[in-house]
Amino acid sequence: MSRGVRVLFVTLVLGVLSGCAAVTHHQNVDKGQVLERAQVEIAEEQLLDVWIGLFDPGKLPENENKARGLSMEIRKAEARYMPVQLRNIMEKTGYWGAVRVVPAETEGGELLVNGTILRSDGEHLELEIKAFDATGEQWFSKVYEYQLEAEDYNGRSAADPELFRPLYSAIANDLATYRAKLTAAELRNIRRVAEIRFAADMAPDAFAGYLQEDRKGHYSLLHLPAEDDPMYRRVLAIRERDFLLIDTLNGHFDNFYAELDEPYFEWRKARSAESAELRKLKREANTRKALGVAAILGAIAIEALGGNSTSRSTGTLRNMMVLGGAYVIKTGFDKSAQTGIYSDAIEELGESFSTEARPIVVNVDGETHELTGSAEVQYARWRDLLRQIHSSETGLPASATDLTGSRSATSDHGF
Amino acid sequence: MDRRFFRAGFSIACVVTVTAVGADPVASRDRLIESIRSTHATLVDAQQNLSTLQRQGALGAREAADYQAWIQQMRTGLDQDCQQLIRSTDAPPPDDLPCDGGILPGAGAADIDTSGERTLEERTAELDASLGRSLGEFDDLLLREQERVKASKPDAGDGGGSSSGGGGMASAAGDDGAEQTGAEGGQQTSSRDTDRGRPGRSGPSSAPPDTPDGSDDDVVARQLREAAEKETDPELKKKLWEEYRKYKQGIQ
Repeated sequence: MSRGVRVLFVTLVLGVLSGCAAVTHHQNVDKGQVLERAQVEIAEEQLLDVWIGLFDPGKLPENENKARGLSMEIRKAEARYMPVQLRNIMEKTGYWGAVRVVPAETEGGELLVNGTILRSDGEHLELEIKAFDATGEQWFSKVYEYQLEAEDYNGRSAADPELFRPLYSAIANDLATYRAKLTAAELRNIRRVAEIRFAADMAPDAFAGYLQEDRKGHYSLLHLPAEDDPMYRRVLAIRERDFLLIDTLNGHFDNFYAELDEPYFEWRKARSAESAELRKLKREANTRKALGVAAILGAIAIEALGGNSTSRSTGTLRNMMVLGGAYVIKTGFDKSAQTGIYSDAIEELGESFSTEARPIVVNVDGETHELTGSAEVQYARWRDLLRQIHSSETGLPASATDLTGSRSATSDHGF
Repeated sequence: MDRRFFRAGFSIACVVTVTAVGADPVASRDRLIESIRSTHATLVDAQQNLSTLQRQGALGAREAADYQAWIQQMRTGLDQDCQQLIRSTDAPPPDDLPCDGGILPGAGAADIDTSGERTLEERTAELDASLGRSLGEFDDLLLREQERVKASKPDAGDGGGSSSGGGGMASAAGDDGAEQTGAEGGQQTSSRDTDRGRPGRSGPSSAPPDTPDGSDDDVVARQLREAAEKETDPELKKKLWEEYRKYKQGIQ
């Protein structure tokens, strides 16, 4: 195979592979990013409910210096904090129905937004966001990146306390842009599919046949239940409780957010300042070292190039340059030692933040576990009752449904 | 085979019932008692057989309904026979008969699965009620939890405080100020956002003077109250408040 043919072949394979994989876009968010709001009130039947999953905390940087002062405890706290931040911003746009934070990968929402923290160190925030609707359609997958300067923290105002707001606004704007492309019929279909998916999950005997799922995980409606279908009314009554449960969970997340806000801000501010100082010191130290070496080299060059007379006449200068160079190198190394002190301070700050955040994180986990544990029992009971009612109403034998339930909110995702 | 079985059973039951009823004026007490015993034995067999077939999934919807109807018919006949027996003599019915004051089933029917003798409608209604109770218990659980969450809510910070409580449990109004510096203003509020249960409401109420304060509202009452408060049409608003008051009176 000639080289040209091989290149063509590889290009084609790569092209096919990239076509198969979901494309993830990237955006460096500008500081001037403005949140877009609906200019007119959107009809109720066209409002999609949004569920924002608790973010994936991601991984810490492998580079030791970059990971300094960061910890998974902080990341876990951020993974609970940031979705609330996104929710608060999306609620202001007027494009959506209820916007709620839900445990990761919870199913059942009309629009589900998942996020992964790729980078968060007080100065940089990088999030990967994926959005899916109830039909299984992926709206987009995109990485958002935003960078602050240390001095930006000094300009924080009570009126607009979230310094990374432009990043969240960019996410909210993209979601609104995608939504705007959908027709009213498509929006209604998403809502119906979400409803029937819930019904099929709670009462598969009665409603599984209303849906079709293709190999790609896309759902379509085969038919709809009658409005006065008593079994459907029962399922909708349960769905209302599902919403109430999620509202209650959001109460926990709100409290967590409020408790964390101040220490988290201070940690980000301090870490950003320390990082900036660290970079400055490194630059200075490197400059001093470089100057010192240059001075010594200069002195040596004077001696090498000059004759005896020159050497005598420049002896003092040469000696000064050598000594000066040595001094500059020394102060350069002293500066390096200082950077170590600051790095330690960052680590200390990170640890103290972790210590401060840990009880809150554990508390949220404990409380949501307790609540959803109760809910899990209830969901299993309702599923069983619906199964019996369906059997009683139709005379059909009750199916051997797994009563542990498949409701993801309470069983699959461990909250 | 199953269909044949219960059709044959149905014929037997009809014969038993017709025999018992047809012999009414002249039947001796013993004959009536024997008829009751026979019908009762058939009924018990039929119920057990129905349960087995349903467990095996061997019955279609129509067959199951026919089977249930037949069992119900036997129960009715048996009840009538019991009443006739009680009326015909002052002596109490023998202990082994499923007659207790003319009401079936009663004493002597301890081996009968009485739940299987209920009609489908009765059973559905009972399950429905059970579901309703369970939903009510869950509502109570959530309300308690929401109260607990509200009670543990951190105090609003000062200065560079948080924008917490934007949605969910807390009122979205808490966040409005933070966003005023945003570009366009003109906050939109989603109508669906307030449809869901949101405890911890605050602010002035538009409730008529004689309306309960809503502090102990359950989920239904809260939704009614919210609907009334949000309604802009005065006539409809008045009706919603009336509905709310009626509901509150009904549950007290």
